Amino acid sequence: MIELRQITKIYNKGKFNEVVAVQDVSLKIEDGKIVVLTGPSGCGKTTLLSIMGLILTPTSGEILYDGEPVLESSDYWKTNFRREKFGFVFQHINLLPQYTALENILLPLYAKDTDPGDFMDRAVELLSKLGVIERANHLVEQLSGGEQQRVAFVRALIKDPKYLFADEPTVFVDEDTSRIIYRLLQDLRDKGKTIVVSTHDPELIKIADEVHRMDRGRLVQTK
Amino acid sequence: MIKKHRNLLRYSFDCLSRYRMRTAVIVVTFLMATTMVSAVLFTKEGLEREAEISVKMAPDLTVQYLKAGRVELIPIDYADTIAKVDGVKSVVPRIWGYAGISTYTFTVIGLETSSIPTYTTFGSIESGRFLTPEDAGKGNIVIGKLIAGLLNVKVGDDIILLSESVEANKFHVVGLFSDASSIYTADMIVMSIEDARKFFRMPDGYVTDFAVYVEDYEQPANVAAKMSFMPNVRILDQDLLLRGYKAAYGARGGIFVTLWTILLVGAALVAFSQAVVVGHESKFEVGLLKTFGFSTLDIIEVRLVESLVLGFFATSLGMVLGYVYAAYLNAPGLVDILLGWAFLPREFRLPVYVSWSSVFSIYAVTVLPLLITTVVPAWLNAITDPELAMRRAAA
Amino acid sequence: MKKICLMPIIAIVLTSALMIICMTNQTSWQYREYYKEIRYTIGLPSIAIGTNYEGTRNPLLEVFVRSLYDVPGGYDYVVPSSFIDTPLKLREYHESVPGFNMTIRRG
Repeated sequence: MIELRQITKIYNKGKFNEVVAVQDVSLKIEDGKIVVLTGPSGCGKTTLLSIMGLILTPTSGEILYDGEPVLESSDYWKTNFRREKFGFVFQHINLLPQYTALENILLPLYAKDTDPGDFMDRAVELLSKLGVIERANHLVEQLSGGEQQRVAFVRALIKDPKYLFADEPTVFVDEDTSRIIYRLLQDLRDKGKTIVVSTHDPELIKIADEVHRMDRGRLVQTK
Repeated sequence: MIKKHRNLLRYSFDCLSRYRMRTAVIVVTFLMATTMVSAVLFTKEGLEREAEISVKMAPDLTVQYLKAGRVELIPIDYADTIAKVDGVKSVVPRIWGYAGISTYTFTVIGLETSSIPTYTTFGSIESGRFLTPEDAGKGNIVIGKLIAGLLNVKVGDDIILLSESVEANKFHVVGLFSDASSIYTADMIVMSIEDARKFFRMPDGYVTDFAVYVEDYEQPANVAAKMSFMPNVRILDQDLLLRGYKAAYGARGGIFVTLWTILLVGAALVAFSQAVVVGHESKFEVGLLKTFGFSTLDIIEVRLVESLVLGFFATSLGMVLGYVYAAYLNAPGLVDILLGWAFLPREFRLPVYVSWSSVFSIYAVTVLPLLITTVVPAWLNAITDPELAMRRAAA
Repeated sequence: MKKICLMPIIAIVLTSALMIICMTNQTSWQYREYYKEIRYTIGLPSIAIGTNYEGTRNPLLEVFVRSLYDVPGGYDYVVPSSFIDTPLKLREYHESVPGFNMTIRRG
């Protein structure tokens, strides 16, 4: 379970260009659910997602994972936690262009004390499931936007993480890819994974178990 | 843990090929700079070392005569006075000077054959023999490889040399100095003092200088001090000769090394600028890696290995090339600047000294700046929130 | 990522080669000996290089003298110390002019 308590994030605090991205947000996310954060652009959903994923430090507040507070832990501990439990899909995909699809997928494994080759079967399985197995050895720049996003998903899932954080996963992709992504998220949810998605996509909102609406950094509605 | 570090190593090596332009720029600039700096340093130190060894072949003291502050021929009577100084073992008069053959200048040395020690072997002689007391005034000579090659003569041949007075002097070659001793003997023509006097038309009763050898129990400087009562003589000891040579080679070499060290610093700046150029991409990459679970130490390890490989590759290659250029190719171009001589005989091999201090100092000027310009920015990015690192890079 | 990167291997090889060159070079210099017979017969130091200029064999000074072309004052062997070297200070010799002067004065 993920619990956020009065999370606030202020950029450039005290300066003339101070921005309150997230203000006093508290929520609980049970395991095995698809949770959607939605709202207008600039409402703070990406910031909140990043804070939950421990890749952005809030200005104040508390985060608990399975009842354990994590914010006070060291950077080393948080990095280890991310490595073992989290998978990320970014809005801008963020694949390294000089590598092939397969090399990008195996990249997160380099931080583990394991041979990336041991995960080859899983990579092939996931790539096949998402319909991009033929593109495995192509450079990223040779892939379409939809193919890149699917590869990004495989990269996020290669370590079989407990939590998946996806930021606008369907914004740059076509309908076919979107449908594949919806199916994938539902499969993951059925396997007990916790998925937090920030999106405007109405189809994603439809399949979500919880929808939290944000506006100007605050949680305004929860369904 | 081993697998993790192996993964990190592999990732580092991949980064080298990923940032191709940066890798190429750093390799090329460091290579050029280190090749020249190392060639100059190794050669300069080799010449200084060679000078140290060669000075050991000088007599303990060399006595010259000064008249009106200029070096002149020394009366041979001075030999008796010098020999009586406490601590002097032997005094050997010499007539020597320079002779021009074609465009080259050779050193003609006339020795008192009666004072030549009777060594059973002369290691510096390749063929024939050295002079003996029986050679006095006979026109027998021992020559170095330079003149042998120039005139195409060998032991047993006769040659004719024109003296300053444009008289033809016939000489018979009885010995040839070896290749190994060429560094000292290549330009020599050694004859008896009588033949040299005739060759240079030197007046009787005078010689060029005296080679003085002191007793084992005495310090040359002490003996020199005792000789100071003699009017109008200059006494040179080995230490003085060495300092003179070091100054001569050192000045040219020092200027050159300074210039190329400036170039090395410039190369370090190029490395820094390249680090900045790829900095944004690198910053994003660090943010991404932190997101995936690479710790700060992991990232530092990756960048450290990357810059060590790059630095050592370029610098080691440069130094090896510099060594080959100096030791095997005789440093064409460079040697003329360093030595300032008109030509080098083909037998002459540049002495090259590769010291640990030179090697480490070149590494320090190349690898260290590269490490700092690569690792420090990576560390700074690694301690930033990954989301901010990626966002700033995108901006 | 499974490609073998040649650069680190070459870096190690080159660095090792350099260390070996350094060691063997140092060793060869350690065992260099001067030719004793040259010392007791010829006794001229300096390396033998044929030149178009005289003075290559004169101990110490001709190197500088020739470059100074023996002009009045130049033959005092006064060499600007900032260019060549620091002035020599020797207890056995007196320096009658500042700089680099090998003239010996009596008494």
